[in-house]
Formats: sequence, C-alpha cells, structure tokens
Amino acid sequence: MRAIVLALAVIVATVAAAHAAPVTVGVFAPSAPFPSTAARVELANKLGAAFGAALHKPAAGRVYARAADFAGAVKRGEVVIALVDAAYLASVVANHTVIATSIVDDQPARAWRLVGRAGTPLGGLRGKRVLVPSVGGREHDFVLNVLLAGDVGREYFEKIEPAPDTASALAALGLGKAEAAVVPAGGELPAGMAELLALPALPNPVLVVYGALPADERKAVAEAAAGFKGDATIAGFRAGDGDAVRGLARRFFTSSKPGPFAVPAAKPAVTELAQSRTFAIERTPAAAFAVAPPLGTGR
Amino acid sequence: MLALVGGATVGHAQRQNQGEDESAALVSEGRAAVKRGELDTAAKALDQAIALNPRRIEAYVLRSAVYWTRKQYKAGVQLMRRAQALAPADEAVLTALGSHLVRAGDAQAGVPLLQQVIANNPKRYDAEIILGDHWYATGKWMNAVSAFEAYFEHRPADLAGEDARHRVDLGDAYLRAHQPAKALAAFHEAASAGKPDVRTRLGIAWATAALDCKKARGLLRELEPFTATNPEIWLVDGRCALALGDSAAALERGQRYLGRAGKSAPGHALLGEAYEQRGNVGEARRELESARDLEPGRRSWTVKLASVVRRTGDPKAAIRVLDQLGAPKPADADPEWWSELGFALLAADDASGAASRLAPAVDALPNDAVLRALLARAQLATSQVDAAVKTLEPELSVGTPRAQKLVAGALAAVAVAKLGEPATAEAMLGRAAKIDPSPTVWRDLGIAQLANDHAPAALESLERARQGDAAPITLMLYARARAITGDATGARATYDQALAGALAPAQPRGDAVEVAIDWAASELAAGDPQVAVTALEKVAQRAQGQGPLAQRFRTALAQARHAAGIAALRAGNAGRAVDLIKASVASAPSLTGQCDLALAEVVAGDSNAAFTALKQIASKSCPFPPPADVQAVPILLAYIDGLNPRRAKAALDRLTALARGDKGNGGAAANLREASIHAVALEAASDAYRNASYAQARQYLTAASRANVRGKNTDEISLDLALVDIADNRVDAAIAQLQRLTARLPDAWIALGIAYERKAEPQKALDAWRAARKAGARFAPLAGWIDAKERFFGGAP
Repeated sequence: MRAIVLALAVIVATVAAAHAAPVTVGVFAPSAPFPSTAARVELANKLGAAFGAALHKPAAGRVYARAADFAGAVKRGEVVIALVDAAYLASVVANHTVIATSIVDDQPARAWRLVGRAGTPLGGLRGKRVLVPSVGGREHDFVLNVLLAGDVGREYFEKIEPAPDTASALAALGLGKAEAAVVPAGGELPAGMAELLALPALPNPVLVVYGALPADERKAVAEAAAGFKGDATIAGFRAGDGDAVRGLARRFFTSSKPGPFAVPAAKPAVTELAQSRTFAIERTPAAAFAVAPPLGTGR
Repeated sequence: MLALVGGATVGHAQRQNQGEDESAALVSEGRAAVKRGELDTAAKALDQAIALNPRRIEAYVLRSAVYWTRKQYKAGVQLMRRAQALAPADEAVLTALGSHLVRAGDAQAGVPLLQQVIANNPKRYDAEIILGDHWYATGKWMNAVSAFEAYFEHRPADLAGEDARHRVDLGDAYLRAHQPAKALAAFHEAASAGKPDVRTRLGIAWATAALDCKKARGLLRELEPFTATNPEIWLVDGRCALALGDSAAALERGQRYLGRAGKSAPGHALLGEAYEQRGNVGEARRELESARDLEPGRRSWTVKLASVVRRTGDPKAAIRVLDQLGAPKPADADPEWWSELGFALLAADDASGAASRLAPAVDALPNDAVLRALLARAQLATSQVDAAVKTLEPELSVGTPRAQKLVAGALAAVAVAKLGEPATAEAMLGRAAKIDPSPTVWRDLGIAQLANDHAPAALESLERARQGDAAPITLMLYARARAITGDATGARATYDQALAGALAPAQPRGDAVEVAIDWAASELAAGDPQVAVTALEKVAQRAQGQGPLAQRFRTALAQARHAAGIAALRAGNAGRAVDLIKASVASAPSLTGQCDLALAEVVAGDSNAAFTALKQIASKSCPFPPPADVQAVPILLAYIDGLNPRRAKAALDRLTALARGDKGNGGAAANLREASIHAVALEAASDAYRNASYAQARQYLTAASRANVRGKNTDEISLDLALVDIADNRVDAAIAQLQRLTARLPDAWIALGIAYERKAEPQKALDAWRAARKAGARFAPLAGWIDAKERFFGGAP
C-alpha cells in the first residue's frame, strides 16, 4: 500500500501573534477510527487552531500517514505538539511528555479485536496473514506481546503487516488481501467479517509535547486540551496518563502474561502495641447518692 | 366494815388464853349486834366489855368497826391508839388503826401502818383494800393496781359481792397506768356481775378507745344519753375522732363538751389539736393556750402548745413556751417535754443547744428511742458523728410509727454521714431498714453495701428500694449492683430503664448524665465499649456546658470512644476505629489517644492521614511496651513511606537500620519492624513486577522472605519469585519451583501455565491453567486465557 502524505496548513493568526514562530500540531494516530481522511485532517486543523490560540502563536495542524515521516518531523523539531497513537508512542524512544488522553465514545481506552471471516476458527489463522494499523515497525511485538500476550508463538501467523490506518486495514481485509486484522473495537466491519477474538483494551491516542516546551506553554496546552471540543471520533481530552503509555511500552518487550503476583495481606500487626490498653470510666462513688432522711416534724 | 369485823374475829381467835369473863360475853353480844347492823347495841356492849376488861383487844377492834361504819374515823383512831398501846404488833389493831387514820385524813400516819401489816402478812386483804382505795384516790395508779390485785387474790369469798365496785376502780387504775387491755378486762369482769352501771360502761368505752378508736366510737355513741351527766363522753369521742383523722367531728365534740362542761383544759386541748389537724394553727394555738392557762400544772397541755407553736414556724417561741414550763423534775417525769424541746431546738437551728440539753435527758431516759434519735440528729448537725453513732448504739424499742420513723431516720442520717466507714454505716442502715423499711433507707443501705464491697447484699437492698421508688438514680444504683454481680444483661436493661426515666422532662438535668456515665462505666468494665459510647451519646445534649459534670461526661465519652476504637481495631474495622479515636482525641486530647489514632490510621491504609498522625507524635514517647514506645513511630513512618514504591528502598533501608539497634529480644517493636519490612518489601516487589523491573522485584522478595515474621507467607513469596524467574527467562527453574507449590497454591498452576507458554508448549500451558481452574484459582484473566488457548490450538473440552 502506497503511503500518502496529506498535509494541510491552516494559519491561525491573531494580530498579537503575527510575528511569532509557527507551531505544527502533528497527528499520527492510525488506529483512531476516523471515518475518512478528511475527518482526520479536519481534526488536525481544529487542534492547530486551539493550541495556536492557547500559545498565541500561528499554528497548523498536520496529519502524518507514515510513522517515519512523523518521526522525522519530530526529530527536526517541526512538530512539538502531537496527537499520537499510544501504541506507537510506547514502541519508540523519544523525549516526550504525555499531556492528555483522547476521549473516544466517552472512554479514554478501548478494547481491540481480532477480526476475520465469520466462522473462521482461531486455529484456522495459523500460518495466515494479519493486518494491523501501523505502530511504526513493531507490529509483531504489538500483536503477539501486547495484545495476545504470548497466546501464540512468533511463528503462528505467516505475516503481521502494518496498514496505514484502521479503515485501511479493514478495507484490505474486506478485499481479501489478508485473512485477519487486529483493530480497535467499534465501527462497522466489512461484509462477511466478524470479531473472532476480543483483545485487551489499550489507551486511546494521546496528546504529547516533544522537547523542552516551556512550562507556561505546556500549561497553556494542557488547559487548551482540557477545553478542546473535537469531533465525532475524538470528542476531547482527559488530563494525563503517561503511566498507561509506560505500561504499554513494557508489554512490547515480553511475551509473558502478567502472572498472579501474590501480595499477601502483610500489614504490620499494630494492635499488638495497644494490647495491654485498659479503659475505665470513673463512676460517681455510690456514697455520693446517699440521702439522709429529713428529721420531719415529729408527727 | 365486814372486813374489820372479820379481822376482829381472827384477833379474838388468837387470844383464847385471855380467859372467859363477862367481857367475853359482852364482846360476843357486840359482834352479833354488829352483824345485825344494830350499831347502838353493839357499841354499848363493846364499850362495857372494854370497861370490864380494858385488855380485851378484840373488843377494841369490834368497837372500831362500829366507828368505821358510822364514819367516825377520828374516834376510831383514838380508840385504836389505846389498843395499839396494849398490842403494838397486833395485825388487826394495826389494820384498824391504819384504816381509820387514812380515812381520817392522816394518810401519812396510816399508810405506813397498813404497809407494815402487808409486809408481815401479804394476805391482809383488809389492809390492801384500804391502801388500794387510798392510792386510787391520790392518783398513784400503779400502787393502786398492785393493792387491788392483792386484794382480789386474798379476799374471802363472802366479800365477792363487793367485787364489782373494786374492779371498776382497778380498771380505772389500769387505764390511767396505760394498761388499757387489762383495764378493759377488769371493766368487763365488773360488768359481768350484773347489769353494768354507767361508770362500768364508761370504763369499757374508755379502755376500748385506748385500744381501738374505731370500735370505741360505736360504744361512745351508745353512751350519748349519759352525756348530760358525763360530758367527757364527747371528749373521749372527740379524741377518737381526732385519732381517726375526723377533725370536724373532733371539733364538734370538743365544742359540745366545752358547752356542757364549761371551761375545761382537756376540752380546749381537744379543740386545739382538732384545729391543728385542720391546719388552722392560729386557732389551735389559742385553744392550747387556754388549756395551758386553765391547767398550768398539766404539762401535756404546754407541751402540745409548744408543738403547735413550733409548727407555726416559730420554734424559738416554742422553746420559750417549754422553758416557761421548765424541765420536768425528775427528768424522766415528762419525756414528751424533752422530745418537743429537741424538735424545737433543731428546728431553730440550735443543734448545739439541742445536743447539750438532750444529753442529760437521755441519761435519765436511756430507753427513750425518740430522745436518742433527736440527740443523735443534734450531734450529727454539730459534726459529732462518732457521738451520734454512740447515742444510737443501744438496741432501741420503738413502739409507735412516729418513733420508728424518727429512729430509723436518725440511724440512716448518721449512717450516711459515716459512709466513710462503710461497715459502720452498713450496720446502722441495716438496723434502720428493720425499724422503718422505707425506700430511702433501702437505697442508702444498698449504697453502704456497695461501698463495703457487699454487692450481692446491695443487690437485694436496691431491689427493695427500686420496688418502693423507681427513681432513675435508684435504678442506676440497682443496675450498678447487677453489673458488679455479673448480670450484664440485667444491668443493661435496668440502665436503659433508668436512662429513659432520667431523660423525662421533669427530671434534674444531671441525672441522665450520671446514669449514662455509670452505664458506660459498667459496659466498659464488661468489655462492650460500643454500648458505652451509645449510652453516653444519648445524653450529649444534656451534658453540654462547662461544669464538673460536663467535664466528667467529656472524659467518659472520650474514654468510651477510645476503648471502642481499640475494640474496632482489634476486630479489623480500622475505619471505624479511626473515627472513634479521632473523636475521642478531639474532645479530650491525650498522648495515648494520639498514639492509638496513628495506629488506627496505619491499619486503615490512608497513607496521608497515617503519615500526618504519626508526624504529630514523632517526638513523643508513646505508651507502648518498650522499646516500642520510642521505636514504633519511626518504624511506622518508614512503613507508610515505604508503601510508596518510589520510596520503598529508602524505607527498607531505614527499617533495616532500626533493626541494627535491636538487641534481638523480640517484643512488639521487633515484630512491628519485621512485619513492616515484610509488608513494604512485598508491595515494592509487586510494583517492580508490574513495571517489569524484575531484578528489583527479586531483591524486594528476598528482603520480604528474610523478614522475621510470624506466619510468613513463604509459599506466596516463592510463587512471586517463580513469576520473576519466568519474566527473567529462567523458565525451567520457575517450573521446578512451581511444581512444588501447586499442591498448596492453586495460583501456582497459573504461573506454571505461563512458564509453559514461554517455553512454547501451549498444550502444557493449557493443561496447567485447566488444573488451576479445577483447583479453584481465582484469577480474572484465566478463563480468557484458557478460551484463547483452546481456540488457537484446539482441544476445547
């Protein structure tokens, strides 16, 4: 599949920001379930406008279709703010800070699924070709370690190949160019296709800043993200979740499932310290309630 | 006269050796004439006999009988003086002389002669009857009773016809000697001789009135026809009406009596007492003053007047009334005067005067229970408690309800003052309860018994007090006794009842607080502090303020909450423990509370709150068993710190450093420290494993396994180490370890499956997971793993 780079720049400038250096807001989120490229571009423009306004700088949104192009732009410093697939971010080494997690269908994460022709047993996929939205080259580790967590060995499938995005992966599957695809859950499947296996949930695309963005600008970006109103696919952002990305990154490196690590209830028995504690409430001595009968009148 | 004739007969028989002469014939003639009632003939014959033979004694005696019959007592005296000169020891002579002397008005000379006769011969009924009449006439009632009784014992049968008259006298003497039952019997005996005369019927009525006024009033009504001549019937009926509480009838009878009898001290006295009973003390005072003025020598009117004056609220005036009359001489002659003086002095707040003036009276009247009670009260009021105890020491005979109340009240009052010596107090109150078992006395006795550690006895006494007066404080004391005797359930029910009563609007504000505090004390002692808290919280509104009771309430509630907090902590409810101990410390700050709050916060798991609580006591020595008193806080601070994975290593270093100072003698501090190391290391290992820092996880697990903790989870740590081995690609070692653990830990099967999966042995992995499921392992992803494995590789069951 031929990579296409679509770039649109929308200059958002104010009188005050007219002389500042322009900012590029990159979008590399192949897994995000945009219904079309146009929708993807439109969101990029919105993001550019929002963050440009927040930083008082001219800003442009730019969609990257290939990981290498995106990585190059980051490396060159062209992109300092970006909306990136969490899986991609977890699979590469870069100086970034996660600002926020995007919200899709009101959730910060969504399950994935293995899709194939309806009625195909999983065992029938042995030696077959599987497509997955690109994560920048580590698609094998992504599918086998992160999503299948070692359920199958590295030789189980014939090939695990990247697709430009979820829609492309499903379109290719529908056209019979692969026997299965691993994609985020949700949305319509091509005719005759069905979910063969539910896979774990992963974080939605995250908003990151690259390099040493000054603290005040980082804060302005975070505030703009919190107030951002997106589209039907990405409605907005929720602060943080770098931990989720770091956890995801670790899963790239091992095919082991996380085991039932036992953490016995081992709180120190502090009650032993108060074992000898005794309590008493001082009563009024009974004698205090004694009443001497009055003398009376003698009658 | 017959008696004298009889005596002369006996005298004659004793002198047979005097020879038969003419005078003897004349004496016989004279005796016969006396018997026939021919007194002139008798006198002539007897005078001739004496003239013929002046030594013939029987002639004198017979002649004296003639004088007696003619009431010529002085002549009789002269004659018998001559006879006495001839026969000074002759009983008949002495009897006749004594009798004539008494009747002639010279009782001073006659009575000793008669007494001499009786002393020599108690059977001399003729002397007894003269004495009886004399004593009766002079108001010596007990002497009269003795004489009459002796007369009836020895008089010859032929004198029985005169019995009725003498028995009425005897009955009257009995009545006046305060022996109404005997009096009634004597009157009835007199009445049985024939149709009773008015005097006998009056006697029966008087005696009955002294015994039973209700019955007497019926008899007195029957005597109404005789009131014209015996207006005292109204007087007695009025007295009975008064005794029966019918002051209107008493007043009416008194007025009728006065209307008939004219000025009469008893009549005015009756009116006075009737007015007093009706609450008209002014009229009462006036009437009693009239009675006193009419009969100033009759002490009882003055004493009654003083009593009324005292009740008008002027005890000093009452004292003046009594002092004007003067103390009785001898002192034992008028006990009522003394007791009224005691009442008046005490009412005038002159307890010192009462003590000094009553003391000699008690010496004179040692068996007067009322006087002793009053003296004890006076001594008590002047802080002479021991003297009061001594005054009440003798066993006192208390006949009337008034005396019973007074004596029991004095015993109880002195005992209450003596509660510092509970044994003495208990003994005195025991006596009081026997004399007048009032609820107050039972309650005080129960209190003394509680103070004397006689709880079972206290339980009985307070049960009786409760039956008589279920006041909240009484119920509370009863509940306390039940609690002390081990009846926790019964105590709780009674406390509940007491508190409900104490919370009633009319009850003193403090009662509810006292009850709640006492209840809480019992519950705390019984080991149920939560009930103590509930009881105290019910009265929180009533305990508001700054007074001593409010302060005691706050302290009690703080104690109860603290205790309940510790109980909650022991029961594993740390959140509740925090709430309770926090509230305790807030109302009554204490280091112990702060220290225990920190413990609760640690167990509750709120690291920030625990940290804050621990920091507050970081520089203090908590009341924990040494060396935990100084080590526990640093250990727990390290523990809390170590729960943050980023600070776990530093925390473990601190804990390890604390262990270096340990002399190895175990104890709470060492246990706490080792448990902290264990817990921190396990948490840190878990975090490291989650973050794929396997080397670190291994280090922490090793530290956890080295910790010297009772009931250490060795198998779990081994499982964790095996998981780390798997992640570290030391799969075979992990499998070997896990195979040993599967028998005890179902989760080991899960880890074993993961290990086999890492070895690309999906079927073994599947088998292991199935075994885990069968062994009951609880691990959420397991079902999905099995499902995926079965679907990828086939072999679904």
